[in-house]
Amino acid sequence: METEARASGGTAVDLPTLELRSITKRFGGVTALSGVSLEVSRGEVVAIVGDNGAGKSTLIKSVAGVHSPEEGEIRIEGELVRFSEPNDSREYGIEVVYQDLALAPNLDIATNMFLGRELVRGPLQILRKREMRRQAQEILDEFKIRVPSVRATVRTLSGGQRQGVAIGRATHWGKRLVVMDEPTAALGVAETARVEAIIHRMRERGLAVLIVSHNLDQVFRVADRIYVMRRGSLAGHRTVSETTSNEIVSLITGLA
Amino acid sequence: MASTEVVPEAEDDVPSRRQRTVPEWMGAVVGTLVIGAILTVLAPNFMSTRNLLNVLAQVSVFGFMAAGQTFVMIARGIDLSVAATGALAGTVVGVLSIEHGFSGGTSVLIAILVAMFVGLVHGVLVAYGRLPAFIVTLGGLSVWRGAALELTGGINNTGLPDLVTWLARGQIGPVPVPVLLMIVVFAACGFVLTRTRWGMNLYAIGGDEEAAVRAGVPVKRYTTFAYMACSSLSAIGGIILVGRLDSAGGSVAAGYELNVIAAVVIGGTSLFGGVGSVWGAFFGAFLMGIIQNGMNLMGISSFIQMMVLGSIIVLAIGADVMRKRYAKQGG
Repeated sequence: METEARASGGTAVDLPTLELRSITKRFGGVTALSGVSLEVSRGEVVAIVGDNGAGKSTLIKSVAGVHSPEEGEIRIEGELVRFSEPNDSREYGIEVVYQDLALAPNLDIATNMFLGRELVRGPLQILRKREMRRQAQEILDEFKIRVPSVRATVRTLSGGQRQGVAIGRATHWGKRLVVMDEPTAALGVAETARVEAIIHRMRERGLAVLIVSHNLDQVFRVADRIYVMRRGSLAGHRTVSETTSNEIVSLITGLA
Repeated sequence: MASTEVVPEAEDDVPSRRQRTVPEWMGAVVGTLVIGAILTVLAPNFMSTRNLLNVLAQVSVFGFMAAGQTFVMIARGIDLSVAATGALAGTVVGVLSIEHGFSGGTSVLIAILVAMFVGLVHGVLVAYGRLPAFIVTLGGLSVWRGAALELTGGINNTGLPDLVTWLARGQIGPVPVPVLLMIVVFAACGFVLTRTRWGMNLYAIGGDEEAAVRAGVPVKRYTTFAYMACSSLSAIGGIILVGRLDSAGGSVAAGYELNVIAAVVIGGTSLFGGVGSVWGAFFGAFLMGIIQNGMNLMGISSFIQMMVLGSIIVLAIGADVMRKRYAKQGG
């Protein structure tokens, strides 16, 4: 599977958006990831599942540039890259939606969407507030994320609305890949459905989506393929249409 | 974009505009009006243009320091050394101009550069060294005060250059120069905090530093700049003060850090960061000023005044804590 795309020698569009090859990450004497390979392509939603401590978060952080793996390759549309900090991955159009969302609760939605990447003019870096609000509204409209106003303070939003803002920000800046760590863990049923609808729209728009989830029902609803991790390595890889929940569970637990 | 899936409507997602919250500086404005009304009745000489302009001129000294402190506190820091830094800047001006014959302009410029260096030291230790701001600037309080005293050898220099005297005691029409200068500086600070990338990012840092880091805000650099702004503005306050006293002694402005923190917190800037404005600090400083002025006019002893000042600080910070608790429940 990995070699197929590369052997075809096609254009960047044919190559997987993200390709990990034999990623190994150690923390002191502990091997958190050993030889993990996976790939995600445009317009595809790929899920990573696994028990606590299986290495899912470490893997995501390696993609985000928070961790630098000791061994293995990360390729973006075929290009070999090395991320040493989050800004590096961002430059390649990769955005991560963390579980705790990383929003400034005291600032409004528009400001949060452009946080760290504000639109400014002049040497004083004067904020172009009106333009940022306009663009923020466009993003929210496109993904049907419903909030009272782009000027509403994040603190006043519900959990689902905050999730919407974080995802909206990621899709705006993530031109290639959006990575989501447990995007609905803290949400109610209706809000979860909204987030899943947003994920569908991201796929329609041709983004590559990598999602970590504990919720297998959800994984079967939104994902095209599933990678199962167990104790730092890949326990299996299935296409959603050709597998069952039971099979995934047995891969996660390691019990046949 | 055509989308076929049905988006469920969640009850709690229905847009509901929260009632507009009261601006955080409102308390200081209301407090100023109430205390002003009381003093108008109790102290016959209080309500006159001349007295109020005089109060503003006195207030300007710690007003500048309060403006600087606002930058730091919005980013969830604190600078306890503002008064010591101001004193150092004031004595630098005195020593350079009186003992070494530098011009007023050059002395002021060098003093502000010295203060920027002080802020740089604080900022680097706090932002890059990850030391608690409280400790760094408490140490700074002693270090810079000591430097100021050492510099003057404990002797007060008098006969400051005309520029400094004019800045501190000059008038344009009926309005004292320090009052005009304060208004200009506050307007500039207000602009920087609300309209520029740096200012807005200081609010983000104060709101959630980790979120700011992950969003790509240059947290360390921007935090350092905040301490540098604070020290520079404190220097202006210190220079105005030595000009008003015509005495550049190392012990000037002792204890002002309490006034400054009280003014900033009364003005609605939170000790917990992320919330506040320089205009709040302005009203907070003015409120502190009229309370002090009113007590002077009523002949209340300076020892009682100290006790009142301390109580006000505890009250203001108590209110800040309550507000924070309320905001948590509300959020």
